[in-house]
Amino acid sequence: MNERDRIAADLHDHIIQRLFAAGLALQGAAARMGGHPVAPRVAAVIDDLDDTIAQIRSTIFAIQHAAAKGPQGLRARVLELVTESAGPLGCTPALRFSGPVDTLLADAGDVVDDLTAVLRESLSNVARHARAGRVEVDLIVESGDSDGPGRLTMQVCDDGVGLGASTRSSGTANLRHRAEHRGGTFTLGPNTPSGTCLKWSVPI
Amino acid sequence: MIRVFLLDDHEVVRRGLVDLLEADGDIEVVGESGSAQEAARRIPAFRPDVMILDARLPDGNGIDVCRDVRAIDSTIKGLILTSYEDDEALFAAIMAGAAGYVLKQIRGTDLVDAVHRVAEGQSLLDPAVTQRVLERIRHGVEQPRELAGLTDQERRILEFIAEGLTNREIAGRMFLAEKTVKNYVSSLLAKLGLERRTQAAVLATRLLGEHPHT
Repeated sequence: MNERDRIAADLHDHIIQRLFAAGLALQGAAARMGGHPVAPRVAAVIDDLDDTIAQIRSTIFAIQHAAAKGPQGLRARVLELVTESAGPLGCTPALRFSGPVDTLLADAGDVVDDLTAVLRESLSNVARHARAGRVEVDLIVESGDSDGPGRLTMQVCDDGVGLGASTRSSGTANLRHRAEHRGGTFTLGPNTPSGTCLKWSVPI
Repeated sequence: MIRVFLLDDHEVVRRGLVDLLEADGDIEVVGESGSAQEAARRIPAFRPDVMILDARLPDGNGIDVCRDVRAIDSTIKGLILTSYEDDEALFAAIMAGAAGYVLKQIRGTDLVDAVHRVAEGQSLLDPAVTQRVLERIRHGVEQPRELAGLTDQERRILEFIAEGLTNREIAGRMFLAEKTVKNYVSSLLAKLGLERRTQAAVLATRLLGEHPHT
């Protein structure tokens, strides 16, 4: 086992398990707290733990991906884009995946091209305009069922200066177009407590 | 009451899961273990409705345990509990003949709900997605290196696994002894790296998610 594998194994076999166990214990405690005034604080800590687990999973992927050769899935492409953006942004975005991203998008070549273009453009917008100290990228896929098709949603949120009077119209028109010609949606709005949240969502 | 068996090598995780599951009121944890070998031996005797299996254990893996138990008693439903990424968790669940997978996350994935649904006989695996995985195994345009190393016999077994057949059923289809199929499955898991690799990423991505444009 090389050093990378050992670090990944440690993160997976020990760190994540302990965080998960801590979260379960807190959730058990929260369930018994009822309307206690501290309950919302506990809930926030559980969310933080979950967030940390998701980021460690991305980190493990990154560690192991760096050693892997050969063709890449979408997860790997997104990871590369996000890693490259760290320089211009001045911070490494937090990256979270939800759902079987690679499986559901395995044969969706042109959606993937749109997605990577939108992500690149969004991160570059944040780098140029937002002056953000923290950026979060979320990629969520849901499989379809009898009620309708699946969905791919990407969110890029920052804690920067917000939309204000900045002129981002040409770039965002392109993003909107890439969503709408697929029957999807594009929204750009304020993040709480500050900054901007971009959401791009299309059926798959 | 839904009877559940837990397999996870972290005692703190098991304790948390017992609390979570039993708070439901309709779920009873009838047995637990931290060892794959021990669980494979003991689960059939407990006859739980659902077994919740950690995918990766120090002395084996939850995939083999799930297949071993279901070869003996296919009424016992399997749920793979894992901190893998979704793609790999999905693949592990298919390989295991499990009814679904649940990620080790507090929010989002509702283990209690998953146990209820699986106990009622539902599968949490989307048939369309499973089909997709199967298609890729059959007709992958560029064969990933892992698949290229498989013999025809192993590849056929992989397809049967993806169709959800138990080791016994596969043995019947291929006119092989069940023991022989079990050995094939173990060597498959080893070849695909599921046995030793940690979280990994790489495997399911390579097998299922290769992108022809890259």
